[in-house]
Amino acid sequence: MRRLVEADIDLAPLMNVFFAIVPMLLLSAVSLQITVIRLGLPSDATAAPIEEIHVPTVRVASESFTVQCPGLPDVVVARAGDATTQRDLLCSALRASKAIAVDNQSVQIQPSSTTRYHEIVWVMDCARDAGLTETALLSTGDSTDDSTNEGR
Amino acid sequence: MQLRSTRGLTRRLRGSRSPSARLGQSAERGPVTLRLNSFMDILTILLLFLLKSFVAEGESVTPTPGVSLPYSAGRDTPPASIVVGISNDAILLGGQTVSRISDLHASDGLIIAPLAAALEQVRVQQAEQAQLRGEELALRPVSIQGDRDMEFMLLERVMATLAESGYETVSLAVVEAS
Repeated sequence: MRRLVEADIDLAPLMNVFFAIVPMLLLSAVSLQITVIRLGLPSDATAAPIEEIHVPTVRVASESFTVQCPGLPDVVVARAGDATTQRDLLCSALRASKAIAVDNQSVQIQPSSTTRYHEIVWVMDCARDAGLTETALLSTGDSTDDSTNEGR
Repeated sequence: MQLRSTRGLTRRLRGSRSPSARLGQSAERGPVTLRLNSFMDILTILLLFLLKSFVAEGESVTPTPGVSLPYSAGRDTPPASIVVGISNDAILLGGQTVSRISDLHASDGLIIAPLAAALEQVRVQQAEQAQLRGEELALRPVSIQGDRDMEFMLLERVMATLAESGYETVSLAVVEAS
């Protein structure tokens, strides 16, 4: 005759494991989400001045951003006042250059040697907002348009 | 804190009845058992959620100590890469200091010689590993973790050194802006 026995599963060891794993995972969780901006550095063979006609250039100086695009007047955005306004002005200037060459996705950024890294990233973000996703950083060592690297 | 056994806890709960129970009002209800099922459910779901979030993140990126990355709207996930960190006072490759910034100011030219030498060592190691596996050498991409306040002149020199060393696939690590 079969007899039913009340089974009592001891959950304590499993709970001990959980108490160890959960805090460990919580502590090792990354609070900052790190992403990347992909670039492609030109090799010696491929490094050459960009000869596309309607590629806009953003010159970054300490007091202003200057957007230059063939066929359009230069736009100077003063680096004073509200950052949102500066961003809007820079984005609209880049969108205007994009409008005359819809297929173009390139932009050249020419920082000065003392331009801060976060300012360059900020300009890259503005260009991306304007639909210009491929960035070329121009060397500071020469005043001509020597492309040192190109972002994709 | 470790749980010895739920049985012991049950026994304690049996002994610590409420005043009404002591008066005999609920003496017929039997022993009180601690139900851990709901708690286990919560822990299981939490554990699965945490594990899934780790898997979904893909390659884990550890920020270089002393470097505050710039914020950006870039949304590309970081690839498995060699990390070049640029802090306020040093250039690091894989967490190891290869050059001091103060030394760089004294040197001329775009190429940073100590960084180029360290990259060459990494390239040799990669070549050996590729040879052991019988594969062609494919250089891993490089991720630059630069301090947000560094000058472009420094970034330019690091990029020039990377290009000179044959590392053409580079990404700039940024913190995703909300």
